[in-house]
Amino acid sequence: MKDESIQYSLRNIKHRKTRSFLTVFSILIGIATIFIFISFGYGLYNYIGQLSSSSSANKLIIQSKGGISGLDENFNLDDDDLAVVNRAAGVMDATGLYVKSAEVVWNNERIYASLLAFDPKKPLMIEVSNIEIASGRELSSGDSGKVVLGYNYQISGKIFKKEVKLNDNIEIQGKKLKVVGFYNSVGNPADDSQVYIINDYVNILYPGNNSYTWIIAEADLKEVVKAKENIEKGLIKSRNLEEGKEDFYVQSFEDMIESYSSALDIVIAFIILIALISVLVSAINTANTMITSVIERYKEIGILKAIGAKNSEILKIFLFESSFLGFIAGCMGVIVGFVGTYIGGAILANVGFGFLKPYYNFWLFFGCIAFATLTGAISGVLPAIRASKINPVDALRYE
Amino acid sequence: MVKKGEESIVLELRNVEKHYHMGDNVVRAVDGISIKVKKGEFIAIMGPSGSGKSTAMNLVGSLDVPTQGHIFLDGEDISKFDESNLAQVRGKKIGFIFQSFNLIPNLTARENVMLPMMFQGLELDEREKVAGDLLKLVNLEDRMNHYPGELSGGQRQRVAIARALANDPDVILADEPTGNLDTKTGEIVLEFLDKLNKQGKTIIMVTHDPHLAQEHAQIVYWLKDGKVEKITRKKK
Amino acid sequence: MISDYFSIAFKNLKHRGIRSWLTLLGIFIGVMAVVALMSLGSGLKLAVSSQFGVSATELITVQAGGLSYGPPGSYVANPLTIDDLETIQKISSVKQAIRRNMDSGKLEYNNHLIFGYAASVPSGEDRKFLYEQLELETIEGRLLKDGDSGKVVLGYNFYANKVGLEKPVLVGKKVLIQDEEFEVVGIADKQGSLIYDNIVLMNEADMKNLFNYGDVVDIISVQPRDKNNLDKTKEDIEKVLRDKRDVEIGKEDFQVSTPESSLAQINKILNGIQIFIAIVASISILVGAIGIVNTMTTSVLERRREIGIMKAIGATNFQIFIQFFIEASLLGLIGGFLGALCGASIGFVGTMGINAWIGAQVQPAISFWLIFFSLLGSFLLGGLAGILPALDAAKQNPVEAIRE
Repeated sequence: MKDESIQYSLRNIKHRKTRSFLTVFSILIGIATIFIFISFGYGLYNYIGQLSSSSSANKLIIQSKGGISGLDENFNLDDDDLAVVNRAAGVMDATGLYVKSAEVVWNNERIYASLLAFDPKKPLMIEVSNIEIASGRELSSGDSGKVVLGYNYQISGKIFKKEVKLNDNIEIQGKKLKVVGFYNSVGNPADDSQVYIINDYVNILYPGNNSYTWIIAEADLKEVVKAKENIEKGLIKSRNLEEGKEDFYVQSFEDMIESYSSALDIVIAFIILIALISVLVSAINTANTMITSVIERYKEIGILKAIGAKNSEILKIFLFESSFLGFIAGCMGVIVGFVGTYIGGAILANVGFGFLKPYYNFWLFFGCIAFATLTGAISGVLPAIRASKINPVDALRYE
Repeated sequence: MVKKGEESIVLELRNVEKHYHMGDNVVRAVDGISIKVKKGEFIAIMGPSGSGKSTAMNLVGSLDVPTQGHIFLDGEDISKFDESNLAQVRGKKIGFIFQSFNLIPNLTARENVMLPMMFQGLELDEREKVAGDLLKLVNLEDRMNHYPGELSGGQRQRVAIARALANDPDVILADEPTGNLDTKTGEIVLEFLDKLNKQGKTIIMVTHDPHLAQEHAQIVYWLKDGKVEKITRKKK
Repeated sequence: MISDYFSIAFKNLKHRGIRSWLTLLGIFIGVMAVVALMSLGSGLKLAVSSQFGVSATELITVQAGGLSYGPPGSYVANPLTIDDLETIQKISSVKQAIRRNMDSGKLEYNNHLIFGYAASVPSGEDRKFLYEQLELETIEGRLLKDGDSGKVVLGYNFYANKVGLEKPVLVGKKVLIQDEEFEVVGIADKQGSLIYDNIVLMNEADMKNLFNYGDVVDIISVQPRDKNNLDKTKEDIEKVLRDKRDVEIGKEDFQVSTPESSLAQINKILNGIQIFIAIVASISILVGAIGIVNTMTTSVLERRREIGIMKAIGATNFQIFIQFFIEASLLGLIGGFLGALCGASIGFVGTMGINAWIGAQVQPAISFWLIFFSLLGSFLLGGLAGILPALDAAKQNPVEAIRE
């Protein structure tokens, strides 16, 4: 009976084309939505994961608590602190970074951008940042008065109406700096409009006492945790603080990325929850369709039983039908979702949010299809049970 | 054009044909029928199955339009009417009584009788009144609010009669009205039809039972193979 | 007349029992989701704007331009100074302009260290002005007065032990701010604002000493002469500052905002988020509508005979169409009504939750328009979903339908 019953189910579905189509369409929409969000979610995780490359596993960041040091005149991380960090046992190298707000003027237009100053002599900066030069060259020591710009500056209209080219002189904080390089696009507008100078030049652009925004330390891979403790101890002592009352904190890169990931978790989970509502509604539609199907075939079921079908056979037939509908819907939903993410990804890259890339893997496709099939199956369970319990005598009498 | 002396003809089929296409074959279900029904007459259309009487009934009842020929209802040629106009005609001028009652299962007896009036745009209170009166007429006053599922066959048919009378039609069309009833109940129904006819209603009954036809109808059209074979009149 | 169709439609829906319910359920869930999310979004916006409402509705705020991570004035390229303040004070449409400075600092008490913000309080007439505008009052102790030195007034949460010091701070106690000792002379009443309930207030002189910012001004709070014409005063300030700081229109290195404009900016973002989420949730409404199409299609199929009968007793195509069309609309309407009701309730409760969390004191409201439009929308959507099936019903051939 097995093969015929599959034929029977398939033909029933084909026979009630409109209704089957509508049911499939419902589930399809729900699945496509979920596919799109999971895909972009995965993409974001990846992006964050990339920040945490193997070369950052042994890096520690020291920054101030409260306010944002370097931006806020009340906390200082200076060369004394840098020396202390360097001296801590387990630390192989350390360097300080400045992040400031800069007034950038070009061709009579003015904007405010983020400025990053680092020590080009320290290779650990490059390891951590992961950006590469697109054209021109990296900064090197002695590059006072020179600047490297983020990707967007070289595109006319993106930041300034007129594009900036290599060797142009651009005005930053009132001083003219020569452009020696452009970085590759990171994929988000903030980073792509950043300007970069060397540490030594900071005091010229920002007269006064300048405090490091961050100190980055490279620790011995096997000793990262110990190094962290040593840095803390050293700084507490040198800054005359009491334990438990630090005005700074030391984090490993991993820790930092963890916190971004968990925030992302919540957002994505929330959105998927909402998308799940569509799936729920489509499950309801499927149940509706199956119930109708059972009612329509009331007499037919009686006949099937009269010619020897067991209850379990009837159950299987209906269960198979609803699962199959779910399966088809899943496949189509995944295709629609794929197209959606593809187009969406292209649009996002175009408006400068290239870091929001969709991500695909086998489990995404398989999972969505399986989920759709399961949804179909579950929605069909109750109607199928009802069908299997039909009394053949009553059914045959039915007109 | 209505000829003089024939103003009282309420329904006429003139050389009406109805063809169906089954694949390559053409089936002439009705192959040239002419029927004239005068106001107040009780006529029967008789024939075995396959004689075309069902098709003829559909045509007479304006449920269908002829392939050829003309149908005049109250002097109007309805052969080429579109569905909308036909529906109006049906609603106002013809009352149907079917073999299998064909009541709307979801509506009570009273609501079933009210329905045709609703389609003609009558107000609620008027519809309720007329329906009440009609159901009284067929002795179903105490079952007004029952659903068809709760009524016996005979009671259902009586509701159907009441419904057929709802818009005070010129013609009552009864298609095998006693087909699904036992003999005794059937007689009651036919008595009603007789009574209605005495009160001036034109009745057209389609049946396969010659006894019934000759017993109650004044004129009987005998159909065979889509044509009128003979016409008999009742001797007074 | 139409009501007849409605009552018949109602009966038909009831008759189909569980299938009608399932269809309803679909629309119900969809509409509930959208209404709930929109209400929550509105609640959130209300809560956020309440934070703004606390800092007075008649004041114009002037800040230096540039990126700012943190309180105004921190981290700007070209800060405002006392000169700017004096220039603004000379404007005719300005009644009063006062200087405010805010900085982040550390506070130590009960052997705990926390980080937060300190705000300056000016002297003399300016002080009176500030207190009036903020409607500042104390629940314990007193407000700062001229001549106070080494004294602070703390925000409500210090007293309510919600700042992480593990012990409430009472009047008379001493706290260490930036390692200097200050005496607490008063606790402010609950403002319902995240910022003000956690703030540390001290006199200008103390603040200058502690944070050393010289002539820099973080915020200039301006009271216009005509409070009904904030925009004119805003323009005047902008013009004057442009001249003084030598910048062109569109390229200002400062920002003059009326309470509406800052609120408007934030609302833009919140709106965007709200709409995005509503769109995702609306997908479920779409799916629910598909359910209606499904149910109605089946309904027409099942009632072919009935349709034939109705035509036989005089129903026109149009009347049949309307019958089914209304049935579909009714499905949408009922589902939408129940959904809107539940959604609004969820939104209401959720808004109260947000309030409790932020510490705001907002009155949650049920948006009449939201409910009205969801009802209208589900009714129309139901009708739309029912058009094709209804057309199909109207097309039925009575002869075939009644065929024995």
